[in-house]
Amino acid sequence: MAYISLYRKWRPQSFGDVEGQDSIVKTLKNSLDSGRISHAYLFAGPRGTGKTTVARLLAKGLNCHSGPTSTPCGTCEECEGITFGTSLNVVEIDGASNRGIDDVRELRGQVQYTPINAKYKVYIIDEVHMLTTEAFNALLKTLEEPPPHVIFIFATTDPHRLPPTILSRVQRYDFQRFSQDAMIRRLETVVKGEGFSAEKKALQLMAEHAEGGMRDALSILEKCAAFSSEITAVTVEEVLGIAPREQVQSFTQFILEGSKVEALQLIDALHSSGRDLAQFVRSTLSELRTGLLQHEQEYEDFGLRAIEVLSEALREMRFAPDPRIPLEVATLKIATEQAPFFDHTVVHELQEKIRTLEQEFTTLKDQMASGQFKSSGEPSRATAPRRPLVASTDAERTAQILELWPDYLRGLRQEKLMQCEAFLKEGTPVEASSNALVVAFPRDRGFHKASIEQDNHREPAERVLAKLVGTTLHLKCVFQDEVESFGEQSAPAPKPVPKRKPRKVQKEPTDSANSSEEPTTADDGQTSDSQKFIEVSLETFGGKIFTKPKKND
Amino acid sequence: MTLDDIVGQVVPVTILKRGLATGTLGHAYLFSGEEGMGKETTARAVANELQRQGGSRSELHVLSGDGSIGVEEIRDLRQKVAYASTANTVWIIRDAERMTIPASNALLKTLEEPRPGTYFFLTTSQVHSLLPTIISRCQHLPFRTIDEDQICSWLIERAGVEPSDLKVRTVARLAQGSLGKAWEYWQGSLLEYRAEVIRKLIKVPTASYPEVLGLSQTWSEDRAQITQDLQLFLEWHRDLLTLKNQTDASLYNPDYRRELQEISAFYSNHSLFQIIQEITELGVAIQGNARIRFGLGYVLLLMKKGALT
Repeated sequence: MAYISLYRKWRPQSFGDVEGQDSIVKTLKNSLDSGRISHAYLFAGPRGTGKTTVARLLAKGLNCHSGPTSTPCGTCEECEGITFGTSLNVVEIDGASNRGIDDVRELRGQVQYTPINAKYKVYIIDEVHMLTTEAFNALLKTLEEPPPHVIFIFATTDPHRLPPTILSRVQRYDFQRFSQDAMIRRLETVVKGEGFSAEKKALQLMAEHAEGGMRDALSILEKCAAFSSEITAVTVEEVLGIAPREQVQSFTQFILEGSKVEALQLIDALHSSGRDLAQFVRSTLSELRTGLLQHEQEYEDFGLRAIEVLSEALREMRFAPDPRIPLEVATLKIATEQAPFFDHTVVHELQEKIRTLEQEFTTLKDQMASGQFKSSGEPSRATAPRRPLVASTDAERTAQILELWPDYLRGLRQEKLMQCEAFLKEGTPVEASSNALVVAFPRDRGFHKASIEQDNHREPAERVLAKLVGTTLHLKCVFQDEVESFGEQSAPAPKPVPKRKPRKVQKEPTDSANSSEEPTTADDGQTSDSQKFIEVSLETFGGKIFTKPKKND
Repeated sequence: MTLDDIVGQVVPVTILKRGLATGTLGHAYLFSGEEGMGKETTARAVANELQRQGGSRSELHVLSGDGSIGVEEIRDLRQKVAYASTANTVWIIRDAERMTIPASNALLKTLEEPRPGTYFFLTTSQVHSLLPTIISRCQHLPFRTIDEDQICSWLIERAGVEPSDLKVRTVARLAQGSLGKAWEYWQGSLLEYRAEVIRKLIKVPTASYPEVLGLSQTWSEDRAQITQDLQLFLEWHRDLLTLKNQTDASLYNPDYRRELQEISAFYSNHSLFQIIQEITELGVAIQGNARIRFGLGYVLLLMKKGALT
């Protein structure tokens, strides 16, 4: 006889063996004894809570030769047939594999046949949540009024995936997760029956980590038994890769105290001994929870935040290729977040910083009032304040505008000048002088350029700009390739051939009134470069130079 | 390859050996753990032994490949299980998380109560992606990270080098407990590739914004490659963060301790938290087919912006 896993070998074979699910067992037993038997049952509940087991027991109770009875004999032909899965009258269907409408049609055909040498034909459909919608619908009529000899038992972990029309036609039993005690009792029975030796604490640990599933608990027991003939708490920790409770406790303490170095060292030790870090976090979380519920002071302060951060980390750890990193980051987050509360020097440092800033600010204000700023010809960038209210040189003003540009666009929106914003968004500020700002547009944004040049758009836009920079600046719009040809100050050599074929070459519109403060301050080298570029372009494409008529502002 | 050749995995190997020796091997095992821990090697070693015990009519089926495993493949499996010969039949389902939900459900009944002589070995690096109902039907044996010293001696033996070879230590460290990764580092160009990525990373905090953007423009857009790069990013910034808080921290990049020390001074804890967060999120987004260029540019700029140089 081949070896059979514990969870199969120790499947309860009588209602008396079923631990835990007392109310369900009692109800079913009563209905068997009183003969009030429904024609359709639904057993719902998490994995390993005994759904399939109870379904088989129910089938046994119904079909046992001495039945219907709540104490099937277990020795008659039918009972044995059900135990070994060979009975002709109890059909176990894998709902996940036979999920289509054709499978249900076949089933409908079969239910007409009467049972052989037994009272009922029992159809157990396991994993019934996997049937398709069509299959469920095809089943409805049969399920409502099956032939008198037919009983359906559905088992599923996912009852909410069944249509309501199915749910209303069945008697539903919800299986609960096993309590710790029920699991320990069952584990003790199995340990005794198998001749293992296990200490009570080990069984407790197993029950804790089975998360209410009996199959999981028996799997763990089987693993531990295979690992060592003497099952102790240490064996269980070793086999499951879980950290000892003391380590969980000290880690919790470390993060609450903000002892980050110790906490990191502990993680390091756990990682190199190959412990399951996700499990470790779960244990820490439950430790924190217990502390919070007991209203311990230190837990009250940071416990909630720690739980929040660790839960987040736990979620990330599931899918991280290396679960250690999210855990370390979370640990440091918790530890550093609360550090300031313990460490008053940080507060002092901050206060000190604010004082220095205040002092500097007052000096700056005085300087500004006395006009020191305007007079200084060319203050070096390092000493200049970040945002001079009134820029003295063109370069500085340009930098200022560049910096303020997003604010400006936002300002336009706030002033309800959506159109202006939409047009100007396409352009980039290039240069500013004391009374003009050059904005460059890409060639394919001619419409935007032309629109903003119209007075009804330009004037309000200029007004908002004036508000922002403190002085009136006229907007001048150009195309980008024109800017490139006369060169920005910091730009590298202009591109030899612009991407778009220029139809006409425009000269930079010059402002006669302010010729002394010409926005373009290109030096000679660059001018000759652009000259050359124009010549080459003329040669290549053929064209004429014509000067744009001067416009008075 | 036998179970004796498996390095480091004491718990699983002991359990399987005892099972084989006493005939108490379960019918379904789930091996979980990161890549390169020896999950498949172990499964094949047990399969070999089972085949030897089962005689010449034994069968071994391996569901490998990269694509997802659909319900059709599982039905095929069920058929084969139902009609298998009386000798041992071993099924190895590699990367079991590839099974679709219908496929997983279709396997449940077979996995719980297969014919005698049928054995299942599921391997996965993402145990959380499996249905809980699948996990609970298997004996779940987590494979652990392997001790650094064990990796060293394994490398020395396998590569036939002197124990004094400096590369052995570095590689064993970088492998982070994975033999597969260690061998990859040892053999391939991974070590040089990593150096290349780190060289770029070191430059980011002190580069100018246009330079950083330029870097992202020229970065490879290969999806498999970028996942690997992001892992290197993550390890690098994790090192910066731990080093900032614990001066004697054990590092993922121990060979760059000095550089890390210097760079970690540029960052605040908070900006490192943010960078790590964004790298992680970019990884998820890229798996969801996001544009690599945008995300990468953003993350690199964040690295630059966060640095107070």
